[in-house]
Amino acid sequence: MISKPQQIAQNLQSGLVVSLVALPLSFGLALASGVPPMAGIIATVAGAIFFFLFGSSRLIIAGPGNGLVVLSLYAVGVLGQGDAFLGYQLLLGAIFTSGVFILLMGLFRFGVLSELFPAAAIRGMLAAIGLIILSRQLHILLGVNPESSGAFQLLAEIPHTVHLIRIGESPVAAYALGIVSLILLFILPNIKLWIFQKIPAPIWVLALGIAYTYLAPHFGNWPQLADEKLINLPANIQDAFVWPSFGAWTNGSFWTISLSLAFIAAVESLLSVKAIDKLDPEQRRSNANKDLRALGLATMASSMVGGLNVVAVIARSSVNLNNGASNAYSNLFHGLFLALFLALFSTQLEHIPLAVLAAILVHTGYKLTAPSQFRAMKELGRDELILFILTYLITLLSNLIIGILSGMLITLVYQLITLGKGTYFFRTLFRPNVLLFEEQSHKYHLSVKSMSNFLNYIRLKTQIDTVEPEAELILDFSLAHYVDHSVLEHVQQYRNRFETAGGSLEIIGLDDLYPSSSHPLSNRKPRGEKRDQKGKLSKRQKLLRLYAAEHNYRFSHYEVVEYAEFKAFEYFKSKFIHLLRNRLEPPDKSWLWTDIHFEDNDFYGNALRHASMLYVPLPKKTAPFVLDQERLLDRVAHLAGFKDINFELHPDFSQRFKLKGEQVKEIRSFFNGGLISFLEGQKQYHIECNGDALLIFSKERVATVSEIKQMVNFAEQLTEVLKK
Amino acid sequence: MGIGLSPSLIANVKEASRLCELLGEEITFVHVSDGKSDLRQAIEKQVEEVGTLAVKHQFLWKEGDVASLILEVCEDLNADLLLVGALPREGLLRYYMGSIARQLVRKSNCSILLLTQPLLYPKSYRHIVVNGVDHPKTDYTIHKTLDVAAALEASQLNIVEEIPPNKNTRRAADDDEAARCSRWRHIIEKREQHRIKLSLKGTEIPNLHIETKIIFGKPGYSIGHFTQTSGAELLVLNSPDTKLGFIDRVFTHDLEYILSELPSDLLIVHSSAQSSPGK
Repeated sequence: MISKPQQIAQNLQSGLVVSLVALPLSFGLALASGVPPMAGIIATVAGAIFFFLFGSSRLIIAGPGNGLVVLSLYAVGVLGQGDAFLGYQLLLGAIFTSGVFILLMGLFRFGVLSELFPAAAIRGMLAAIGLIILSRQLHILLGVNPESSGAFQLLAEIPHTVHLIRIGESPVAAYALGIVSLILLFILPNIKLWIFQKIPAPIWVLALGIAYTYLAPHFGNWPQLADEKLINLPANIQDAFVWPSFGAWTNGSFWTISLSLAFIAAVESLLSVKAIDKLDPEQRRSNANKDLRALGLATMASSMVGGLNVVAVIARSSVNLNNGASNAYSNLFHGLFLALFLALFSTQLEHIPLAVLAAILVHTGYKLTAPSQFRAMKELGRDELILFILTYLITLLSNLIIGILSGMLITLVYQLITLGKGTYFFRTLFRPNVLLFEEQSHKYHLSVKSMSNFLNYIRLKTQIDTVEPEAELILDFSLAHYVDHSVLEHVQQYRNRFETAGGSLEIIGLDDLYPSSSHPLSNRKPRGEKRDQKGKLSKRQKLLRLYAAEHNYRFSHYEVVEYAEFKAFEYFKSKFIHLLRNRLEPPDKSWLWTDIHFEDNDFYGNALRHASMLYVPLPKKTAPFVLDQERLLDRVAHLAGFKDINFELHPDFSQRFKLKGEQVKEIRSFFNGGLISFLEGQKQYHIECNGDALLIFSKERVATVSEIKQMVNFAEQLTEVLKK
Repeated sequence: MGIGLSPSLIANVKEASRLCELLGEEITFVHVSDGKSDLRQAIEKQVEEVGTLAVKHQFLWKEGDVASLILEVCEDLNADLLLVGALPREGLLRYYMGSIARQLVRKSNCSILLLTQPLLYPKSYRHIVVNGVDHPKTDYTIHKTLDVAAALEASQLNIVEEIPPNKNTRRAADDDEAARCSRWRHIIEKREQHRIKLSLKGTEIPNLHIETKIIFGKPGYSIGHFTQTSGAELLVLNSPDTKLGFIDRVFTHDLEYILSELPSDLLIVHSSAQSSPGK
């Protein structure tokens, strides 16, 4: 895996930095979970070794995770029934069982689990976890042990804690250190100094805490910190290892706890793996199932010796990435370094104040639940924000599992209501709705029909996954009626992967669906009647607008129903034109490019079609004709009876193109000129002439932006040739 | 041809007569009424008004159970092809009860053509999609389709083979798996292209562009979606091996996908039919 010494050095360095970040986090998360601090370290080391051996993601860091803090604390209380150590042992039993579950999930390929939940619900759950951690740790930061559980009760308890500080119940040193650390954690990353950018803020804060506890006894006038406000590590390393107990296996809550642990650990890990994959400069793809198996094994091993659940974590992984990690060795090194620190500096580490650890946790909690999260959701549209807030509140009021499941349910009900067609919704939701085929070699067409939302996204995903990212993929939503934000967000990530690998992913057919906000990834639903459409453009429309601005063309995305010029073509004789959208026109109006929405004339009117076409008026009147590739279809039935017109002087042209028309002589004179040699050098289009103008298109579907540029270039050159 | 009084009657009749001009010799209109109302006059008048029936035609008037009587007539007359108008999409109740067109498809012993979008003026079947699944019936179906395509002067024919995804061709969770998956897909694609090429050997139809597509997706569903996306006017399928029943509707599979949402006109070629449809 490692080939260059330079790479080893890089990964060694990032492993070191991450281990320094992981050290306070491991202690802090374990303490917040209501177990001895060493449990966090064990989880980190187990995660590092097992994930290195069995995992597939190269940049992920495995260790104790935020998401499980709330659940573990609850489990210690419920299982131990007052006895903290018994609770810890029973929790270890539950963790071992959850490890088995995670391993099974990996074996049965549950790696798509995280894709099944709507994005807003997952973010709502994570934000709620953040608030719970924050509200609890805020008290510890101030040097007080809170009495209540539950986020709202904890927040309500803050005045009481402040009161305790006022009457001097809490040592000055504790809350002063806590508050200073918290401020530093917020400020340091924003200072544009090399040393603060390179070494993460938690390390500075940790150093500050240790330095203070060392120095304080030497200065009598400094406020002193009592030992109980410092971290408590076992004197003997063997004492850190605790065996799990399965004594509670007859207890129903033991099983619900293990299942919940497994579920949340899996979801958090999968999300992290995906998020890091997105950031990977080499765009390597991890195997989610393999990662789950590795995490299951790591969790089992960790719990056997007294450690917490092993989870793939995003914050430490991004530190890892920022410090130049390029492969899985940095994860291994980070675990080994941590073990080394503990062996070498166990006495020094005893000097870490709890308030500093609490400050670090408050900071992580805040990041999860910060107002910026709400703002980000608001940008996606009001509906996404409401779903997010509802999941958030339900999670806070009940628990994580109920929170995310109700978030899913609410999203489903919401989509059902906005779409307004109940039976249609359920009929199409559980049926296949994707089709992938190779249009040409290395050019794929993926068409999505009816509903596309978080529940059936997996079908879309399995199909996209099979396309090699070096290829061109066209994702066609023109047959879809509803596309939700989760799907578009996932697709966006695929677009990045395709583009880094040298391929491309273009989305077409979204222009007809009405976005619920100006965000490019917001829900798309059928166009409402009243709402104004200003400023709500699809990505394709924006690109077109940009392109038009660059070349001094006129672009308008409005729907227009003046299509008389198109109606005059034979091609549209038997078709009903609905409207034109996205018009592109040069100032002199020598051509017009547009998306046409038309219907094959029939009784039921369900054959709505969309195509991009070019309209080029001719300077001089000529005879009607149709020109197409020799092998392509006759799109105009009316002209099918005429013979192919060939030119003796241009055998190659005659062979490649089929030219048909009634007035042979006139057509010949029209083509004789520069036109033939021009057409020979161009991509072949279907060209139809009605005497006054030309209708040009290549495929009977909406063109992608690059195809449009080709068409426009063709039109530009063609008008030049025609002028001569 | 089965007819009834409906808004699309005239269009259906026109379509049928046009097809007959190209393919067949004789057309029999069958109308089965419930015996309560007398629509005979109205229908006969409308059909005669079409006026352009160049082929030999006759009317049959029956009373009783619609589907079984039509099938009876088909057997009596030794019909080559049964034409029925059908709704492109069925409602939920209809879906489980089954429309008449569906009953016909399920029980028919001759080839059947479901017309979804009859036009008042002649429409050309310029783009046809036919299934190319690895099945003994397929060869016959493809050759029949070629005959039809030649007779109708179609210009494009897609032979679509659906490969049900399996472990090797679907799993692509990471780069290694994706590479293996695409290798497998290419192997299968090559093999199947070759097979279809062999079955096409010796048939040459001028002005017909034939393209074979190998699609990895749910059998029965993918071909319908493909037909819809490619804008083809006619879909040709093998007849089902087993008679489809109620259970097939509950656990949707294969043909049922297409029947519940017809993407275009649908021709089901019955291989065991002694004489061929479309001479």
